[in-house]
Amino acid sequence: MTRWRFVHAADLHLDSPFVGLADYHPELAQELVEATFASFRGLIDLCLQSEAAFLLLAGDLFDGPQRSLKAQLRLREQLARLADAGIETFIVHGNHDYLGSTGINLEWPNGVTVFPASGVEMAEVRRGGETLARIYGLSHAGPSETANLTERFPVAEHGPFSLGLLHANLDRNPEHENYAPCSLADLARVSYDYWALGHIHRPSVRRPSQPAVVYAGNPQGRHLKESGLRGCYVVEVDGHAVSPQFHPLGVIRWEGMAVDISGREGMDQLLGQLANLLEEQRPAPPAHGVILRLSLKGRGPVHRELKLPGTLEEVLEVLREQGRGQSPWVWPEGLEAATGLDWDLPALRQGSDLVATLLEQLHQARQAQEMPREMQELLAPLYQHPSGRRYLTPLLDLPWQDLLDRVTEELLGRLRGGPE
Amino acid sequence: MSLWISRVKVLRFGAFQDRSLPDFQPGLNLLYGPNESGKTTLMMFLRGMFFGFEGRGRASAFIPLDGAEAGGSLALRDGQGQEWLLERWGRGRKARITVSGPAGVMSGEGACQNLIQQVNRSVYENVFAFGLDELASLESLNQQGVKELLYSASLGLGQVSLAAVEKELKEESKKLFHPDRRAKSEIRLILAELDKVRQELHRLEQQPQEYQELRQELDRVLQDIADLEGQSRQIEGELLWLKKLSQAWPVWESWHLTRAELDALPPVEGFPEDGLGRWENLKSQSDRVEEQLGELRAELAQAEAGAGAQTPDQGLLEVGSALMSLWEERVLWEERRSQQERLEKEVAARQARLTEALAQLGLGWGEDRLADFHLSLSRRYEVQNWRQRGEEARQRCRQGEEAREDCRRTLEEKEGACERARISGSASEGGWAFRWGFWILGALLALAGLGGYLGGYKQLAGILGMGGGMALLAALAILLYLSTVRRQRQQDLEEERQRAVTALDQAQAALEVSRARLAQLQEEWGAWLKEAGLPPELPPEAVLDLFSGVEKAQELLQQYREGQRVCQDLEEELADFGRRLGEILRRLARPPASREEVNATLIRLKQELGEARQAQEEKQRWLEKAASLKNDLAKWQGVGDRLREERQNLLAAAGVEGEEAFRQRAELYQRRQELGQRGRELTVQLGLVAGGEGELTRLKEDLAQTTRGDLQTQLGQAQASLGELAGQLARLREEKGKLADRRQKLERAEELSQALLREQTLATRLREAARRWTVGTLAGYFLEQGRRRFEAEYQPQVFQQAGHYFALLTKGAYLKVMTHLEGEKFFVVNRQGQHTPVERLSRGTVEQLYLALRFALIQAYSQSGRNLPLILDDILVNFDPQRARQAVRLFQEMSRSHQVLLFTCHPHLVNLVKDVLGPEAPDPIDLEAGEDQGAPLT
Repeated sequence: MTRWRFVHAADLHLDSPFVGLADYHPELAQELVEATFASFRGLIDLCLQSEAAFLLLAGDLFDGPQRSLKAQLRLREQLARLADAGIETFIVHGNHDYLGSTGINLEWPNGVTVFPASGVEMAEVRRGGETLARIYGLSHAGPSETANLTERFPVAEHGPFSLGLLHANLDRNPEHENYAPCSLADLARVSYDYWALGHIHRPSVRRPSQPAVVYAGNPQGRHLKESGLRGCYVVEVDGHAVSPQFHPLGVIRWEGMAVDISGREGMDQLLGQLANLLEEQRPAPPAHGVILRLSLKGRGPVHRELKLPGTLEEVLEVLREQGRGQSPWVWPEGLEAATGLDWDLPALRQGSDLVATLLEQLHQARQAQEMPREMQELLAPLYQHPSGRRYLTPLLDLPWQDLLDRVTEELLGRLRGGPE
Repeated sequence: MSLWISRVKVLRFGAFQDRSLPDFQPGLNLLYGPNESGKTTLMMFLRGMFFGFEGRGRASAFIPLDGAEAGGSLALRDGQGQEWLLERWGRGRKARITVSGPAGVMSGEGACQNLIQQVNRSVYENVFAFGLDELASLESLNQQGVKELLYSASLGLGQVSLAAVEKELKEESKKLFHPDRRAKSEIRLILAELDKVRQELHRLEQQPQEYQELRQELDRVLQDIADLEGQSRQIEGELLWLKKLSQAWPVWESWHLTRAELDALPPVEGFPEDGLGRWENLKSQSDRVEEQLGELRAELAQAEAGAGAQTPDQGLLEVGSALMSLWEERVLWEERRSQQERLEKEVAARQARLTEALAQLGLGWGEDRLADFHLSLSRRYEVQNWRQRGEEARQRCRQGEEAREDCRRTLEEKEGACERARISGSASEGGWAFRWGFWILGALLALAGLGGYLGGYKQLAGILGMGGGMALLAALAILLYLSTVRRQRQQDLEEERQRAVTALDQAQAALEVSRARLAQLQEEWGAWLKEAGLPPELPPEAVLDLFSGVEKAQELLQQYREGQRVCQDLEEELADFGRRLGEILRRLARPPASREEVNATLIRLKQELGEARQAQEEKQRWLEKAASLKNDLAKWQGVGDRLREERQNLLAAAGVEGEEAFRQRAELYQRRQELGQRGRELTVQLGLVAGGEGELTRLKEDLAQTTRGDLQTQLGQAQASLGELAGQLARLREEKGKLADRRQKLERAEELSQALLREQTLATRLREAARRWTVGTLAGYFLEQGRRRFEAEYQPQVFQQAGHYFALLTKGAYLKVMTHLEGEKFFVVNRQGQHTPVERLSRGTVEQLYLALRFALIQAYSQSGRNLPLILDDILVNFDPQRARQAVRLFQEMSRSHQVLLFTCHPHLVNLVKDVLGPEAPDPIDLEAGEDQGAPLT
């Protein structure tokens, strides 16, 4: 049999918003809300251009159980393009868009197979009278599937190329909700050639062969934690051997950069450095742009100037102007001076003054594993505010040590005007 | 551990350069110097040695102006007698610090900080080392400022105000968030915005549901529309049918009436096609035929009478054509007659002219000779040739004679010339004059020369004489030349005469030849004349003239003979005409006519012939007409018979006898025909209305079962139903439009995406603001807690000690210094137990209070192991003498635990110290004394 290929994507999270942007230019708004769609369109284009035999979508096509109408309509519209070209699509649903969640009665285009949640089903892809591949798939039935779904997959029959399509958390990755947990051993048990997984947003080939286990990642990063290139895998098949090739799709990239200001003589020099950095980050078309979070670290002559009220904002404004000046754009989303704790805290604590007293108190507070009740009560009006509660981390989940660091920095900064 | 300065060396600071001071003592040291002796410089130097030479504020005045680095060294000792050497050069980050002590040498600010027991600059400068400025500046500040500075002093915060920091934190937190719902804050604004977005999102999340419902609703509406349209079409069909029925109704009614009438009429078995018409037609034809027959008969009688009335002359008619031929020639005959008369006269005239011409030619000439004389062009040419040749011969004779005459004259001239030459030489008149000219000129000149000589003009006479000689000589030369020429000429003339004689002879001979030729010619001409029958003397010119005469006569002869012939022809023709006329007259038995009567006779006969012919024609015409009429009459009688027969046939076909019965039968038949036709027409109309054969049957059935009134009612009902349906349809279509519009809007809606992004953006802002608020709130909390703890731990002791010192300074006027633990106000308690706020105290008392507070803090620091030298710069200025004495005692007390460096510029203070302390008073160090007193530092 000749070589052929398919495309493996997952976690489209269509119509999900960008998270963590405190500000954006109104001109970018449309591109931001369109990003997941644009990347998805890119995926479909890729399928057509690479003449893929079929497309696999490994769950979380939608961001929430309340599926966006636009997302549903666009999904159907784009899949119809594949259907027109005779390319089949195979879909499983994940924890975000589990089967049974609210949606319109989507009339899938021809050639779209949605695997049920009731049990593993098998679909065959045929070409020229021969079976090209057997695809086993299972959707999530609910928003928090805790069972190991791989156990339900049957062992592959000998013969055609076989693959499993599932939304699952391999090796109980603690960074993701532990839904449909499984292990590499579980996956190897059924003797498939390829496991097309979804759920983990960072693209990775977890096992190269027998079976190949691949997370496609999400085609479009939506916050700083989803920085770097995002896309899908084009998988070349030769018999039972596979070679997955990552293909970037994200039209907007997130990046976080730390800039060392040590040795910068003045603001002009620092601005020049930042401007260069910004241009280095400027992507090439067809990407639309990059969202950049900058943090300044280290100490130097410009430190005091940066600490002056309004300086960081001004620098950020200049960088934003520069970033937006060209297409593709770069949007410096934030700029913070992370000076860290440069104080000699133990020495200060040895003192006899108020600062020493304060540091002693803070030191004692650090010994506590969580925020003392008294302080909880102080902060409760905001954190237990009916609206605030929805968006804020619960008080007890706040990083206590980190918070104390910030308080220390705040107090020393105010009482001592910053380290000498 | 008490630390004290034992030696000071200023290498470079302010005005000092390489300046060593006298050794200091561990307890009280009194440093005296008037103004500008470097007191303040020294104090700043000591501060700088501990904390760095500052380049800012007041301290900057002491930085060397020439750019050199400030620097110096201090020798220090502690209570255990250990010694340190602190050296410092430069300032800021570039400062070089070394601390040499028992444990070795260390460098850097850290080493220095360790040495000075971690006391920071602001604490040292506010509490340990101060001047009147620091003390006095307190007074110029308001109550709040004083407290803050005092707090700062005690809290170790330097210039930073704790209260300000606390206030800032509170205000910033409040700006971000305040538990009070009514308070506006950044976070509350974000939360309000978020609530709005949430509401919008909640609404937008219903979109798929709405879309789903919309689609179902749209399907339902479309189905309803389809149903209604079906109904509408059906009713429209019915309405159309009812309209047809309505339209067909009058036709239907007419059809019914027609049918009824037809049924009422008696039946007619048969009737000839168009019977009545044909009958009427036949009848009118018969009438016309009878009328025609009557007319024909009358005409026939008239024609026969006409023919009988005509009787033409038959004899005349028989010669008619011959007569007419003559009549036609009559004009020609007349013409010939007149021509004959004219020609006879002409012939007579021509004869006379011929006779005259013949007489001119001569006697021998008659008509016959004239007619026979040969006169051709060649003969004329011949005569002309003769004439020309004769002329030429005579011309040559004349020329020969002239030539001979010329030759003879030439000879005579030559002979004369010879004769003259021989007689008188051959000189000409010109030769003579020339020749004799020279002779005369020579003679005249000679005479003139002689005359001049005689008159005394010798020179002129010479010249003239010489000219005369030369002229005579020329004349002689010419004479010789001319004699030679004359001889030559005589010879030439003789030769010429000989040539002239020869020429004359030749001319004579040529003349003779010409004359002979002429004679021969004249002889030949005579012969020619004889042959021509002409007189021999006639010259050619005369012959030519004769020819002309002959020619003219011949012409006249010809004309004469022609005239004669024509006259003869005319006569013959005239005679023939007369014969033909005579023949006609004979046949008519009429008397012959003479040549003169011919014309009249002809005219009369012609007229008679015309009359006869006319009568003949008239008779013929009547006869022809009568024949034709007879013919017509027979024809018309045939027609009349045929018509009668046809009428009989018609009557037989209608099965009646007689015209009246036929007419009645025809009328009945006609009516039946009309009704039948009308019925058929109405049926066709109904068919057209119905629109088809099958429909027609249905139409008739429906019409038979309804009435006009019912039809109108049904029509009205159908139209009403249709109107109602149209209304419903319009509403449904409008609804459909709205639904489709809404669906399209939903399909294109970007609101959800935008709202989600807005929600996340606001959430990010919220988290950011919450983080700032949390940090700020916690910072405020910790600050408050810290302050309380600090107050609880330090202040009571400090204030107790301060009260002790204040009582000492005021000699018991005030006993206590107090503060509320929570509050920032403090006050003093006097001997009477009265509480007095600080602002009510006098300046001096306030300074004493602050001095007491500072000393109390210094003791507190000492208890925590921080014991540094005290530097007091003329702080007793505002103290009254008694309290100054008390202060000196207090200094002595402080000097037991601390090194005290008391700077002053007042001698009375030096004396006061001596006076108060007696032998315990230290020897004052005179700063003006210079370096001599100071031992060099190692």
